[in-house]
Amino acid sequence: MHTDSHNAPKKSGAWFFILGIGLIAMFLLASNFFRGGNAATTDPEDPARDEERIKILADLKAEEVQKLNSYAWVDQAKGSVQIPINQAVTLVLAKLNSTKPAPAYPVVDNAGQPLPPTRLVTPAGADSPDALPEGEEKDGEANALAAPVEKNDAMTGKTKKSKTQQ
Amino acid sequence: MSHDLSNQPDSLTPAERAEIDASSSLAVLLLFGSSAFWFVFSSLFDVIGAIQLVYPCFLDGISFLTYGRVVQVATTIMAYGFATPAALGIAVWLSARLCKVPLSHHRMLVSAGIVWNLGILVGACSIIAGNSTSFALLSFPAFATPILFVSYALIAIWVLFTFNGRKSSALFVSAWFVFAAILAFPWLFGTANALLVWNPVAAPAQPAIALWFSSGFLNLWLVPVGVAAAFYIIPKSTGLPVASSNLSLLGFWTLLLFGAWTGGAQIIGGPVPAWITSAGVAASIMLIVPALAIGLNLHLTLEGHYAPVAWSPALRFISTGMGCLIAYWILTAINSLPGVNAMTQFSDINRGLYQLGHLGFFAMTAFGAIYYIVPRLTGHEWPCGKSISLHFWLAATGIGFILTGFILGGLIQGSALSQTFITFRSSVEFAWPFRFLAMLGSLLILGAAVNFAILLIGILLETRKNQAPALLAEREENSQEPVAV
Repeated sequence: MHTDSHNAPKKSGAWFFILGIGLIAMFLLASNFFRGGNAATTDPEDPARDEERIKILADLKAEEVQKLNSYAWVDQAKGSVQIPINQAVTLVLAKLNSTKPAPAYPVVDNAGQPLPPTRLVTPAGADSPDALPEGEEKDGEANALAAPVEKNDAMTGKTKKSKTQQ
Repeated sequence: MSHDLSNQPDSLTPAERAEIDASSSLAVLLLFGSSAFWFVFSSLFDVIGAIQLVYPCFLDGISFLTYGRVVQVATTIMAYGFATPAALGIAVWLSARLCKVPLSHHRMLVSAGIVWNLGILVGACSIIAGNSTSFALLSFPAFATPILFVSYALIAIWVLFTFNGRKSSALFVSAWFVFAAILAFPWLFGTANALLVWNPVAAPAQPAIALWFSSGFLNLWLVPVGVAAAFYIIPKSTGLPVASSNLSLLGFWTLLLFGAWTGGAQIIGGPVPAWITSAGVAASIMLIVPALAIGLNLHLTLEGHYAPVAWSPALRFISTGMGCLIAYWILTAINSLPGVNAMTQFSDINRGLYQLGHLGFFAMTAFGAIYYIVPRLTGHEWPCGKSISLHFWLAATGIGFILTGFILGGLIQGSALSQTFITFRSSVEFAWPFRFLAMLGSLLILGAAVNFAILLIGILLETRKNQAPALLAEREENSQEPVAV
């Protein structure tokens, strides 16, 4: 097939206009089709699974509310009990308010052993132990506050020297 | 611009042709020569990247040859070092021929071509040094792109002046494609660099802009130039007019309408408005219209006259390139469908489609155009038909290996990625043999690039005088086809 007319495009101008409109309409329709409208249609889920998930969430919340507002044994052998959350908050606050603030426990390593005493970390990096020249001994006496503290002593603010200090 | 459309490329006298070709020869040969050089450079880096994809330890101790930099260099230099100068050379020559006007100020074009290559050199060194952006095809740092922009403007402005001063009343379809491409490139390149490199917009908008650019770079810049070359060279080589002006117009306008929208289909499910991805999918599907219009038009033009494809280097390369373009658009449409994309989005298929478009379509079409144009500029034929045949088979086999490796391997990889019981490591291991095949393909492409560069040096330096056209095969004795190759 070989057309040989230079005027052919002129004669079919109206058809080209209609074809162009049709192609643009197809493009818009296809865009709308693949867009899907909203997340639920672009990423559809199983309605039965939706209902199941809603029920699981509701059951979980009901169980939490029930546990938060009821009495029960947690471990009867150890004497551990569960009480309503509001009551527990009242008790804990009263206990905390009756005690004097004490220094924190020192950091322990993975084996549960106290780490060697260190200086208190200050904003000035030069004061940190890492800034000391290699081989220079660190001042153990300056680390009194970082030394291990027995649980009972913590209440009174007493400290205990670590093994390395002893 | 006249709206008359001609079915015949041009009807110049030999003297007019000689004058027009002489005016554009230096600039066009410079652009073609530099594109051949950068193609070798890009292919070398592509081979290094392909080897590293298969053997990750390869050159791992050299910082500037790590995978990220090597692939960026290969991709960017392929686009701006090879494809863009080749497209510019074709556009300059076609516009002068189609407008029947000698190119004015051709020395300025030569200067601009040299500046362009300096820009590429600066950009390539910057990427190798680690100073690049993270966007595909926009990897050049902010200080390298203005060099390219200015040199492009100096070339394009004279192409537009040529169109303005044309002597022909009826415009051939190739002129439409060239004119659109010349205007599209600065629009795409300037906008994308302004929004992503020079003054970056908010991060969520960046992927959409980058993908708009990468799809537009192929569909609105390289494709129009390649199609223009095909519509010019096929009728000139066969002596037949383009079959249908209406199909040409349909292909032209639908390409312009939908070409730049397809990038959105690559970020389905990404953090962008839903209309961007859905428009990308719709545009990818709508590109089947220009694929059919252009493919059918070229087939009807060549119907019953396919014989020259067997011996004409230009026709063989261009026919292969146009076949790859139609395959690229059809595969892109299939790959953009949400059901398919859900499996293939993060697989090697996307790399395969990229190579099909840039290497399969544009590189092959550009080679065909160069084989047609250069003898007309130098005044003598290609030195050796067998070398051209070797170039064709190396390139075609290499592209075949790369496509087979990335597309088949990508399908298996994507399928494995979508299965929850298959680990990510296993999905990569499944793709390994196919990546190895793609690596062999890259090696063949490097061989083709070196072969092409040697051929171009041969014809430019006139190392071997060949009076008869270099054909890929013997012409049939009773053939009525023209000798033009």
